[in-house]
Amino acid sequence: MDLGLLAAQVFNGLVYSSILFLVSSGLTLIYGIMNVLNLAHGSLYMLGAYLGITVVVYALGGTPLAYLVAFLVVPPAVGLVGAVLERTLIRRTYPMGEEYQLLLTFGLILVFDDLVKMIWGAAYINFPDPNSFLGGLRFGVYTLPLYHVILILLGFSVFFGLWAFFGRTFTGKVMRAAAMDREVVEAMGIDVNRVFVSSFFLGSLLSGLGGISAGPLYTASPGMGTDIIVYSFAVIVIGGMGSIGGAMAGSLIVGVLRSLAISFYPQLEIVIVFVIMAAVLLVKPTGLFGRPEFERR
Amino acid sequence: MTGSGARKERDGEQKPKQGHEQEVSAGTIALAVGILLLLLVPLAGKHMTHLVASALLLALAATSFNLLFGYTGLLSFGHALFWGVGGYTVAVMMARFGFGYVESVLAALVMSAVVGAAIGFLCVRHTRIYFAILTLAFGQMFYGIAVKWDFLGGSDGIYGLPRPFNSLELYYYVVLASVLVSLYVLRVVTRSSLGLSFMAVRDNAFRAEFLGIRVKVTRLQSFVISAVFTGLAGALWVLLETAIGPESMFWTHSAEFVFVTLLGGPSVFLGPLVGSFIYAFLADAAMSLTEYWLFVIGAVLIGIVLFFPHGVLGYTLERLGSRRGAVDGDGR
Amino acid sequence: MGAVEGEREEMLRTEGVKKHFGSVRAVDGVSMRVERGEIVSLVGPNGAGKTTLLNLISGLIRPDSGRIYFLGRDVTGMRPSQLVRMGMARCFQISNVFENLTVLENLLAAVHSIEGSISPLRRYDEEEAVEKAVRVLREFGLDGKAHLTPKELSHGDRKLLDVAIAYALRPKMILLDEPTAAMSVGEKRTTVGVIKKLRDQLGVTVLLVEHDLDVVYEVSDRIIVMHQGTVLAEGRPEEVRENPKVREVYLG
Repeated sequence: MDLGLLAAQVFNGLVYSSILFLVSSGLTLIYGIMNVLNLAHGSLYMLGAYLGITVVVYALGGTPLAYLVAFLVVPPAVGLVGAVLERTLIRRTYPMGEEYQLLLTFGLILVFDDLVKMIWGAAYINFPDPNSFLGGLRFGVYTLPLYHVILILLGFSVFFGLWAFFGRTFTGKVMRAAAMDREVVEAMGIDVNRVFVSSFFLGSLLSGLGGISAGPLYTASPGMGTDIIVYSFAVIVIGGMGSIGGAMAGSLIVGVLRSLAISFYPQLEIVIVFVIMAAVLLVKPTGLFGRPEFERR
Repeated sequence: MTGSGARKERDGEQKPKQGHEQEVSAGTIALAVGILLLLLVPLAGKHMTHLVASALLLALAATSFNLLFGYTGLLSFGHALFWGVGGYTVAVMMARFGFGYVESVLAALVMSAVVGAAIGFLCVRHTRIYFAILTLAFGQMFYGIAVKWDFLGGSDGIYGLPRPFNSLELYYYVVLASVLVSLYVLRVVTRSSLGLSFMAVRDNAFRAEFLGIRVKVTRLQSFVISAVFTGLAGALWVLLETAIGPESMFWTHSAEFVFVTLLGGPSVFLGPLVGSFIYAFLADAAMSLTEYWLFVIGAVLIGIVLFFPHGVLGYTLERLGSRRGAVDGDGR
Repeated sequence: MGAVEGEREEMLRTEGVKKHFGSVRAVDGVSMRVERGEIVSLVGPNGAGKTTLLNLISGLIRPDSGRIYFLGRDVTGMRPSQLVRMGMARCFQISNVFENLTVLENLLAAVHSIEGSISPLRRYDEEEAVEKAVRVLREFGLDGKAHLTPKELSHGDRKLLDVAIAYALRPKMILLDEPTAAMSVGEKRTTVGVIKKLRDQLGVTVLLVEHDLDVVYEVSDRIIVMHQGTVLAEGRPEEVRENPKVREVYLG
């Protein structure tokens, strides 16, 4: 086996892991705090990519500054969309069974997919390559594209950021407490509805961040949401649903393995992820690292 | 969260006989008219014939899905895999090995049963959301196999199969007869003592164990029956379309079964059938109006969840007051 | 009637059964016997291990050590569904029935299961099974409510339904977990009648966990007093009533 190729695939895998982590940490956060599995979480990722291309190309002409602006503006915008969805639609399914939540959010997927086609068309859209102005990092004979390196760092930074947020800040602790016992938090005089809408904002923001990060790598296309959502499911199931650390572990496993499969056993690209997912569910349903930050009684 | 099964309202048979005679005969008349209309469909042209045949097969798959969901309390989010197993078996038997369609469909039934037993054996260890996600994982696994395996035609799938009798109209009657017979069989099962065990396990698996019912075995029985009839639907669908591709196993197709079942109403035996026809005709109408027909479907789905959580047929029967017992309040 | 002296026949026996949950010794070496035709009550303060013992006997949980014999057979570690088919039925503290089935269907599920007539081809409301189910409902005075769902029943009737389901399993022995909990005085009278009827007319052996000592003294042939996971005393009601050790743990 060619070590250079192996290293390159691991590197690509880490980039993909990083994207997966951004999306799945949002998914797992919303599940952990609110016990809602939002199928439309992938649609918010897609929205992130499309809003990204709008800001970068259509509004600001593809300059390096355009990228910076897009990364600052798009994720909160997507977070806002998520918060509005929670307020208007998803909230109304809480008294119903989980199957109704899955269905309503599945309906949202269909709506989002077609909305994107109406606004941006059905064709794939390419971003201008950010590495063309960012250049690369040289390691001996290898050159690592800087954008890819930045994404890996972004993934890890967000991981540590979330860890600090939930472990160190008051708001984070309140959100964790709300996951455990709504009534106690309410008795403390905290508005649980605000906690819920905030977690939807934060979770959706992360998905939007994942979307705009992924756009320049994989282009933007309708249907990119239905793809990423099943991989994100796999990630959080493997790592342990409701656990941020588990989302990171799951992302690394899925991202790197998938990347290795693509170059060494292409037939296994899709299958391998779901084989691992099923195996984990069967052997240890709480996931490999099933000590969620959001413990539920 | 509320248990997915415990809330299910069971269908309204077995109520005090008195005062319901009229309603029973009204139901019988509706059924007879329905079947008569179905027999006349080929007169309405090829488009309509194809549309109704697809709706019938969707109805069979959804009713089978609902044996597991509405009657046994297990939400499968990967049921399209059995549709695919049935369909691919027929396609492979005919295109790769040159068998006729009768042998191919029979083989599809066997394959669905075998795959259903194997996957069911693994899946019934879990319930609720874990069962749903596990079935989703298996569905995607099979999708992944179909996309990447050249023997199955990769992402193009297998196409150019002959249609039985070379006639859409004649084949329509094959589909109609198969679906009606299958629905009858499923009806017998839901009214049987086994069907009652399914419902007992759905309502209270813990107590069912203390009735001497082997809960996992019972769930597995439901799973396999459900898989076989879903596989049959897929097998017959391939012959209708004369082609199959991996997207028939993608998770969104599984979600479609869930959708039409809830659209019609999971608590009524014919709910999934009603949901399938509404869905098929709605999609057909939306498609002829706009290329964004999925938008329409999505919006309808959201409306159904928010305003008619018991499904269209469930809602209608509730309105007619024909259902015994109080409808559980936590569904809305 | 009660157990006739001289022809004692063992129904249930436990030998040194232990179950610890972490550092909590819920059941700590219990050996006890129940004879055929007896009503035996398990009493003791909260946390004495009564319900845990019932869970161990009925197969819901496995003991850490010790053996359980039912009808002379070692049944340690058997699943509830196996024990049910051997003739051991159980009711629950919080009435535990099938909420979306009618009262009759609740019974039918039990009848089909125990008759081994579960099949995809037999109608669940076939005449034979319905007759059996209705006969049981009549024994418990529920035949007028056959077509209601459990949520339409009164609290007392729900508990009765729970017992009726257990009885429909044609058990040799029934385990009852606090059958009179949260009942009105009238409902308690009915339940006492039902428990006596199980033994006297229906020939079922009863093992009862119960808090209400009036009920216990009225129905029991024998009482087993548990304290901190062990058997503190056992004997006839009048013996237990006079036992100073029992008074101590009970009345403090």
